[in-house]
Amino acid sequence: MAAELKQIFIFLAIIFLIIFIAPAVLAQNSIFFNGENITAQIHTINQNGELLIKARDLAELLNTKLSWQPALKSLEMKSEGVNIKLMAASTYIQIGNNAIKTKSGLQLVDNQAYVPLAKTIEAFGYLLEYQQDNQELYIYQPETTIRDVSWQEDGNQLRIKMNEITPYRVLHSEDGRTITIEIDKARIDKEFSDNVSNNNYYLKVVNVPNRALLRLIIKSKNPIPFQLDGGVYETDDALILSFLPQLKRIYFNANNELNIQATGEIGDPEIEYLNDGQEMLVDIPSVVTGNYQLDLQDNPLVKSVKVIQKSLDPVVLRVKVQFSKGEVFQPLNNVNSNILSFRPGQRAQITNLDYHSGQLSFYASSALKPELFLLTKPPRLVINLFNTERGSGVRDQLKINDSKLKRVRTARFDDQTVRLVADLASLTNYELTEHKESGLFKYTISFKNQFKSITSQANQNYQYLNIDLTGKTDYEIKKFNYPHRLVIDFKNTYNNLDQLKLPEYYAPLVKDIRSSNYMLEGEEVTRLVFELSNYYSHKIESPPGSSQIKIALARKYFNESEKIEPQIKDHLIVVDAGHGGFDPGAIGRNGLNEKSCNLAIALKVRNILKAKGHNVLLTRSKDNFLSLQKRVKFANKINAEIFVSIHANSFTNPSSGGVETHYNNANPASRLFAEKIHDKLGRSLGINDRGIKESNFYVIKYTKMPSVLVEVAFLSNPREEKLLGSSKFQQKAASLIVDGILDYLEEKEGR
Amino acid sequence: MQFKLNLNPGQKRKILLIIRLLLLAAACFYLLFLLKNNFLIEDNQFQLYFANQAGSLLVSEKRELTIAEDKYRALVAALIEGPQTADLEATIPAGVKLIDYQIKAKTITLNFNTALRDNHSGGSAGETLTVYSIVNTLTALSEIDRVTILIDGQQIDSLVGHLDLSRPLRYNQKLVAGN
Repeated sequence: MAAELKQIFIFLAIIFLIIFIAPAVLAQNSIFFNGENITAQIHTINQNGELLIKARDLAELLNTKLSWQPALKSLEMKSEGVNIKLMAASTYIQIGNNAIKTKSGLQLVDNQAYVPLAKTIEAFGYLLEYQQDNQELYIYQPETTIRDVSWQEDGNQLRIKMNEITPYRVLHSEDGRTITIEIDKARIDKEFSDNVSNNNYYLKVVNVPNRALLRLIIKSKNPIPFQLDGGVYETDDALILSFLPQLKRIYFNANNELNIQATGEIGDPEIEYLNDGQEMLVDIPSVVTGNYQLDLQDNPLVKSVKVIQKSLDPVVLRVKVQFSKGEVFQPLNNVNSNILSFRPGQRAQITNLDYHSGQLSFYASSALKPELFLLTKPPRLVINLFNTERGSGVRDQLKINDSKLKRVRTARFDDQTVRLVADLASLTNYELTEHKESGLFKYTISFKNQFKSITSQANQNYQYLNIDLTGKTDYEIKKFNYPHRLVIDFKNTYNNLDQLKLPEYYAPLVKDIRSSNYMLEGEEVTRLVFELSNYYSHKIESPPGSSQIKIALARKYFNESEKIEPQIKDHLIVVDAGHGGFDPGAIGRNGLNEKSCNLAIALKVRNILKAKGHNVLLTRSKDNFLSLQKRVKFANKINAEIFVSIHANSFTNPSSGGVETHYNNANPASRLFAEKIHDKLGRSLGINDRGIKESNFYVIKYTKMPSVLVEVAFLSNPREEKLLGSSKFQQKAASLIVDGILDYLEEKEGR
Repeated sequence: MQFKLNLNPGQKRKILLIIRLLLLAAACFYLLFLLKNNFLIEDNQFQLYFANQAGSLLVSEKRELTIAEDKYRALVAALIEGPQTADLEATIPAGVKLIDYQIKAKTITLNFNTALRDNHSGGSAGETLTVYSIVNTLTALSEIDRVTILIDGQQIDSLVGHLDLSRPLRYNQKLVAGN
């Protein structure tokens, strides 16, 4: 017990030591006066951790009168109305009628009087700043004087009048109730008047000793409506902080309208109704609570009004209104931009309920927060619309009977609520979107497609693949080779393949069926992949955009001409070797220049394509510089059919590496082209696959034909630099790029 | 359960003393917190974008910067200085300086010295990350929508031969990790 007590005691003692003996002992090696190093010109001593200066040196420095009375051992210094007095054996300095305590006071050394430097010089109005861990002491004359701080513009601006604008900082506390303005090398005017403090605000002026700056600290009962960015302006003689508007008054006017008034303009509020319309939340952006007036005059319709600052980043004010009689208030169009008005007894009108190819839509006269939920038996989607009533174009029942929806019923659910019920063919995913359309709010519920079935039949010549969906869908069919596969990308389709019975017998032509989901340009895509056992000609036998897709795979070519000559000729292909001449491009760690390996690969691509009878032109065939504009102009002028730019990559981290293929959406066909090329490179080049990227690159953006830019490998990666320098790797890359080009051209030919 | 402490007066005094000291310590801590919250400088938070190690994406680093006068210069300076997070890579080559800048209609035009181009190690990955670390960092500010980069006062088509810099660039969400 006793030992434990002792330990606790020691622990507490250590904490106290840390708290109280933390301030470091001062030790200045250099002293600067108005920027000039005066250390050598003055005599100083250190006593009790305080720096003392020889009184005569100080008097000379400040150009003050000094008088010494030997009998009293007292020292007096006078300058511009400031009068200070020190006495030996006293630690006080008398400044005018005030006395301040120092550590050492006046000290006599070798019959010379020494006085505390910091306190004395501060008494004469100078500012001190310690720098470099207290190694250096800077003494400045104040450069500006703060004369007045006051509110302007109905409390929306704070003006700080000062002689000159010196560097300053405006700082906000996290709770938003304190704003600190730090002004460098400033002093406060003798006749300074505080015109800021009132029943909401309190101003405190703090001279920050040791840092030659002045802090104006303004505290408020309520969050201060500062603007998060900017809001600080300078004039010749003042610093102006402009604030956001504040809530001024909440009241009922003569028309029984509830008004919310601010000191400035009110932006678009978000209005939400809760508890079946018993409560209304009004979220107002960029307004803060102030000293507002609440004046409800015992209105019978409103039970209570509460105001809170919902958030400060971004600034949002929330007004919460509770209604007493279930009479709901609706926003009115703003007449005065500083006032939001609400009129009782108005409900949002629901109009023009409509269904069209998987999309249910309706309009509302004000913003709603629809509540949606699915019920299973029978499958249906319930949509509750609070505080609304049915207007024109909303009948009790809307018959649909398509693959997704049977019908939509509408009814008044209770006093406040209109309910829509969509009877579904089967449970499905949906998405709700809202957008404004000529003053009304349009709500659209999109029902996603799903797969109904995937079947396959084979006869002697063909194997058919049938894909049945619940609705008409946007899809894209692509064929990739080595390994051979058929890929279908579906938009707006829910991937329910795991709930589906897939054909057990794919053979003879299909090896496997896979599916995956990915994002393509911000849209979710469901991809269905049929792995084929060999290359088979295919034909889509269903019209585009239908809900049933039928594909025939054939061992024989559909088109006899393709069988004999499955090659594409008379296509003009431009191959662009990146960089060149004085522009070496990236440079490898062992000195390989990007321009040379780009050219080597480009020449190999040309040779392979030529050998196959294609028409190829290079932007450059030797080591010369070509601007990006010239490369683009060249390809556009000769009307090239496709454009391939060859590059090698680089990054500061030598361990990153791999192959990338870039395209730009300027030509919509570029993506398929990139997919075709990257299908080969990513799979077979033997280095890391960094994927296909949509990039804002100059040459693939401004060329009009389908274009890609290949970054074969990283020169900054020593292993890949070696590869890029080897003829074997260059040949491999070139032949894979050619495979991709031919694959793309073949597909475009519609084989 | 009954529990009774049998203590002699000396022990009681000790315990009382400890309780007093604890109370005093608590008061001191409270005071320190109060001081810290009210008088220490509160810094501003910014999002800086640096490259991931693979050189494929940008990763935002939240940074508190004490902004003296010029937020934009301070942000560019922080980008030049590089990341504080261990597994991020700097995106700006050595020797780069921001000569001056201009803001007009929510577009900031940054005029860099030639080091941005001359000391760049090249490659479209490197170029993309350099340019968009600058663009995303500045367009993360609410008052900036677009960024134009000049080299020594000159308009450029591209920095090192890939990215189109002939038009102002906007925030690039695709390049940001976690998307």
